[in-house]
Amino acid sequence: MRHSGTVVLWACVSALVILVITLPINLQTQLVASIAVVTFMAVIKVLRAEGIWRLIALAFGTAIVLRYVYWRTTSTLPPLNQLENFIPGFLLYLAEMYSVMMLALSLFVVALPLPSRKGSVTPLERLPSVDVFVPSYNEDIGLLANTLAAAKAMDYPADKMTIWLLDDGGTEQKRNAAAVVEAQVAAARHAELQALCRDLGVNYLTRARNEHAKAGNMNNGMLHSKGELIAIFDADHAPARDFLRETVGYFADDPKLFLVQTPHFFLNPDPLERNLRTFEKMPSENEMFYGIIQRGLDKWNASFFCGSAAVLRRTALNEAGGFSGLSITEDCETALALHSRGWNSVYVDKPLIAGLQPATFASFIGQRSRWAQGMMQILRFRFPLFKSGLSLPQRLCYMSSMLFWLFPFPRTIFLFAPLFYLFFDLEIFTASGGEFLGYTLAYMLVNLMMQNYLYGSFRWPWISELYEYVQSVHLLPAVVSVMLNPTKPTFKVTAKDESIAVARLSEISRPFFVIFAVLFVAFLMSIYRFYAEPYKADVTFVVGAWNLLNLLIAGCALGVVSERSEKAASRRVTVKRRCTFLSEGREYPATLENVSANGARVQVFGLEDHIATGAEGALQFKPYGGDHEEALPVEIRNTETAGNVMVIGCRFTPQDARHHSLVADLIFANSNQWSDFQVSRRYNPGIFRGTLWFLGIAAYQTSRGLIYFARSLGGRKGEATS
Amino acid sequence: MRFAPAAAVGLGLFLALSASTAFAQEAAVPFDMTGERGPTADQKPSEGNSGTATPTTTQVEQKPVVKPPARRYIVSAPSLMLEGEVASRSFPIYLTKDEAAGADALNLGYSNAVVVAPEASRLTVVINDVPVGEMPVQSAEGTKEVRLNLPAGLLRPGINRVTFNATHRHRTDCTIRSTYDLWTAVDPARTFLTLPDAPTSRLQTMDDIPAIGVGPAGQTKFIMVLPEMGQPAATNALMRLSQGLAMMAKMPNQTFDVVDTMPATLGAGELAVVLGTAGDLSPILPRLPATAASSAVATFVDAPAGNGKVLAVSGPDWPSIESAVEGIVSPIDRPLGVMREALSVRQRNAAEMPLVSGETTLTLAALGVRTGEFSGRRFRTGFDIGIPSDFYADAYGEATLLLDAAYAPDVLPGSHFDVYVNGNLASTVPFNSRNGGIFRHLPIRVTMRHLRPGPNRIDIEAILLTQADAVCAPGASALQEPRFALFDSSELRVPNFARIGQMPSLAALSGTAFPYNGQTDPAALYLDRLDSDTLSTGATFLGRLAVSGGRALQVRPESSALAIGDRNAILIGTLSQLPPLVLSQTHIAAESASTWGAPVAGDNQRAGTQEAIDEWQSRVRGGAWRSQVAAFQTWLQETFDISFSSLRLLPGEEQEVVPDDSAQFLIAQGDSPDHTATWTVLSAPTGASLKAGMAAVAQDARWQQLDGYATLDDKASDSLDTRQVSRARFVPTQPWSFSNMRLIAANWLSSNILSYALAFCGLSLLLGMATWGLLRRFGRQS
Repeated sequence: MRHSGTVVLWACVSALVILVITLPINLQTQLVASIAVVTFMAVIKVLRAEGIWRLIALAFGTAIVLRYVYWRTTSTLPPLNQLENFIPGFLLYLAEMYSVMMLALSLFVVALPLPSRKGSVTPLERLPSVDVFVPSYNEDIGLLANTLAAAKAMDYPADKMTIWLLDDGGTEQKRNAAAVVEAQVAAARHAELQALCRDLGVNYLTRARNEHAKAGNMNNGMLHSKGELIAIFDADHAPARDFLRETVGYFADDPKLFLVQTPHFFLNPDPLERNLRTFEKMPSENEMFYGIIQRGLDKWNASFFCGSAAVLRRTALNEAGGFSGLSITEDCETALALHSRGWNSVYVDKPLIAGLQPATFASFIGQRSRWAQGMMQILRFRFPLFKSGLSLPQRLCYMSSMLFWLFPFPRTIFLFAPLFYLFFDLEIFTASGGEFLGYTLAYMLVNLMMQNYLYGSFRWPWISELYEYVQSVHLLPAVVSVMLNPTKPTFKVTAKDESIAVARLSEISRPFFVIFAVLFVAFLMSIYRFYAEPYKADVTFVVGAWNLLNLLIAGCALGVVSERSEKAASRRVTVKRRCTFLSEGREYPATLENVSANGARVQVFGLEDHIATGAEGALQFKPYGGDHEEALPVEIRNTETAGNVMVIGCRFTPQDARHHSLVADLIFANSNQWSDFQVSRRYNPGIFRGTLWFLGIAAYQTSRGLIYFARSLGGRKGEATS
Repeated sequence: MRFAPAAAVGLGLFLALSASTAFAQEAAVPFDMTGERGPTADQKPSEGNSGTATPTTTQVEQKPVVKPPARRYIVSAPSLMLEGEVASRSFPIYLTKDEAAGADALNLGYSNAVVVAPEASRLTVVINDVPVGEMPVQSAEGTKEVRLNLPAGLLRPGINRVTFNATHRHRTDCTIRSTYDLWTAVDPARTFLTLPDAPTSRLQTMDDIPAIGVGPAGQTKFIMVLPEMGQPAATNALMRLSQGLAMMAKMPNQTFDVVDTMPATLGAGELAVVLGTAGDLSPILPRLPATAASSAVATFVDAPAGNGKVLAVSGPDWPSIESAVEGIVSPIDRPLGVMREALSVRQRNAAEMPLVSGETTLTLAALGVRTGEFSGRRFRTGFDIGIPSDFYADAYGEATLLLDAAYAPDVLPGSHFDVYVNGNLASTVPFNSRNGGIFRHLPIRVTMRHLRPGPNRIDIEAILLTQADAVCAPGASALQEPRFALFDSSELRVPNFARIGQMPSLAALSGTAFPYNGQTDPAALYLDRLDSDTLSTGATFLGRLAVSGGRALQVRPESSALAIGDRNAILIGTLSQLPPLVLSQTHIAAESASTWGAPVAGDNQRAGTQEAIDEWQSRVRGGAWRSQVAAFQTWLQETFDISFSSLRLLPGEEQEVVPDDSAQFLIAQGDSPDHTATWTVLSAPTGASLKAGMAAVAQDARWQQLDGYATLDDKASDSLDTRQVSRARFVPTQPWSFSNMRLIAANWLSSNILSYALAFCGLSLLLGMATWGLLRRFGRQS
């Protein structure tokens, strides 16, 4: 072996560390060591030392965590003969050990993530032929038109690129459905999409039966196409012009490469971001995954297929028999199958597509349920740890990705554990106040610091906990059901184009209020017991603080499930682009401020204020791929004067397919604008400021959730009386 | 209730009179006001003996017409206190055949605290598991004597176990604090077996030596008559014989008095031993067997004064005397390499004391604690365990008490269960349930910090608060409803602990005579001069060590301290006579050789200032915020006990000992010049204080306090002044094993806290760097 010296050295050092960690030292020594380590880590963090210091800081944290594990295992479990304490105590212990194991796996994955790749350029004449698949089931035609137009506009030789709309909404099975209304809708969709495709110059393909959902649809696409590479975009994921340019080059570099995956960038906020109003300033949830974890996976050749925004090699897929459809997350399953056959993957850390994510809390939960259930299915059917053909790091990486979805169990246990003490007086964690300070507090601090160190600018403090909590409430039953019946879940397409006209409580918000009420009672109980039972005030204090933390998160979640109304149907993207505004035959110089899928906001120079709302006009600009200016018809919605420029809000009125291409060009063509937006949100507030900020949010969102709740009760009463 | 049934014939008239008086008063007065009744006896008669009641009086000296019955004192301590609401003391007495057959009664003298409620408090005497007397505790005003007749055949030759059980209740108070005011003191001078027709000499043969017994103050004394004291050859035999005798008697407070003339009389608990060649002895011991002139003898012979017998060890010359001594010692000696399973400390407690030398589980039943129910507010019981001399887990060790116990629903939360190790609080478990509770093997972690080599006392105590006690209605203190029960199925579980000898360690010396115990080469014994004081000191010390170590130690007298070289050694002498090298090796300030004992100006100024500052600090602590901070500080201090001195990287140096004026005696230990052997120094300013100090330190209560690298005996104070070791030399005692090394490291790092933090951080740093190197070489490179 090439690096056996390094491995032996590392193993020796690790053995020494384990030896020192498992010494049964006394509490004073532990406390002093903890203080030393926390101080050391804080210094490294404050100095923002990187490189080798990153690993050193992580090693410090790991050592403290391992000491906690040693202590937790050897001295805190309730005695076995007190079953009423032991069973919940052991569950809590398991939950903590799961968290530690996940920490270990994620440390392995992200200890030294690959930096962003430079890009790989292939000479024009050696570019491979590419089939672009846009699988669709029931998406809106306007949405599809934008995506297809953006795909068509990609910077790639036209003779080497074929766009395919793979329509599962217009299959023969659907068109001949027994229910007449559905059949009619399917037939109309079939005809409309065929026309759209003809206009845009893309291929329309449907099939006889809706077998194996998305995987079956794409396999059907593979049967009818023959490009060397296959690029896949979800119906709402519109690619930028440079998508193929940035990705296909890697396939020439590595003949065993089967996948180039790129991040998913979303134009609209998820329900948490929308209801907490954090979209503009806080990094999105998936940025931690695409910004760090995929890069970490990439180091170990284990970055996996995420269903869209990726390019795959046809020969690799053929070898594995196409896309796997055993689970409802066919993407990850396919990647696992190909990795185990010795194929490689690459991750390009640059947003090259822009898409939509579920807008309502219910569809957000629906999407997450699918991911969680799918991952559980893969875990069950293709257990990656023992799958032959994978390298050891790949096994660990896949285990990390799958086991992550077990989080509803520990999250639930952490939520309810304090209640065992507060309500039933059970002692499920035997430790004194001093030990809590020396071990548990040090562990928690170090944990927070490590998280902040690893993910600081991608994930702010306590946000992971909030996301996990809001999902756990509904994901726990979903995960349990897939465990009991692994073949039962079926693929359901997540709705992403919903909009919320009026502010309301989510239809699945009820459990959150119940949990909040229970935790609040427990909070009162902890205050009562603190004063009523002074002889165990220290334990009550610790447990009460834990419950208070749960209460804060649960309160914040009330805000998440209280859906704010959203004015713009789709999100605006800021652009700065010169254009010409055409109105009544005259041309005015103008600048585009921002655009959405439906309209734009333009600064027009020299326009007198005689223009009326409802009037028709056009925007004339030069698309990125074109060589001459083209006009996009618009309808004026509102105007306002700002000095010598007039700001006009207008709605696109696309009349033919080319107009869709122009809209797509405005929104999607330039991928840099998305990177810039992401970077603008990426900064690390630090643990203290982040925690303070979270406390503020939690207090505000709790009150907002309760007000929505009161209003919904009032509304129902109103309905009943009227 | 059965008291004193048998009659003592000659005392008839006088005793009958006083008995009737006592009876009349007893009927009239509900509370016992013994002291007001003057010097007459206060024996309460019981049925069946009204005519021939036999109370004794405190004035036995009023010689009656016949010879008073001989007394065999049984309490081997200067005092025997039964304290708290429930207390029990148990100890063995070793009786000769004559004594076992002849003793007809136990005379018990006791007094108790005024606040003890007699109607609710009882004192019980049990001998060999047979109750021989039970009485209300009612001797608040002076000592009261009770005669308890013993059934024939109850006592056995050899070991008998005597147990005093007391239950006390307060007259008026129901608080926990009040339970500390409850006591009964058994007076050793008035507690004895009466032997109506005992022979003049109790001890007749060598086998009777363990029955030497105690004097009225709990003392045992061997008077070693050594006519040729100054003869170096005598020293070896004397020391060897002293150890042999000490091990035979095994009394807790035994001393050796080396004299050159025959004592005029012998008191209780004393034995005279005559040691010398036949030629030396013939002037003082006419009845020495004639064979002594030709061969070694060791036998009891009549004392010249005619008042009993003395042990004579003699022979034609010293080598033959040594062989006679060897004949006495070797049958009871323990061969090298044979491990003890229990410490032979029968004299402290009737139960054998198991020697816990590694992973052990002991039930309370095996430790001599019985299942018991308790209706008071402070339950306390305890047991003893022995710890080997190479115990090294004081910083990290934790034992577990698996408690089987129950408490009643009326016990309020806030009550707790405490474990004490050698008087130090080692663990507290609160009772939190409002509905009572049953513990089944509830694990209680008990720190091993306060354990020390040798015998250790572990007390378990339950503090029980109830609403009834808070109200404290009249008579409430005496309610009989049980509140707490302790079951003897509870277990003490001791894990494997680190074992390595540390030198110096006077605790190991007092506990198991380490390091002199078990060594193959004889240790050097240096006596500054061969006089009565020095030899007495040496004999007492070695006798004490032999009992602690369970074997006679090999010693070789040396006439020069400088000739010792690098051997283990014991050096005894006045400080001014000891060579400077010895003083410096044992951390005794050289100047004290001339200053100790001479009056000097006190250096109390600085200490006084510090005390004043501390006092002011505690006075100034006020105000809500201040008190919160102070409470947190106190909590930190109590919980973690971290001080600047404990925050250390490496152990510091020992400070030199400068004995102050009030000290009369010191024991100090240090390394030999090349740090391979251990020297122990016993010293004092004068020969007289050397002997007196050794005799005081040899008393069981003080001997158990020996600790650190130096211990000073203070004339004024009851406790010893010990100086803790900071830098110990490790002496491997166990075969090398990884697990032992790991535990030793754990203890060392737990004592040198910063070293652990440094090792922890250093290794983490290394791990980080090694991981960086590893990750850079594996996976895709950036």
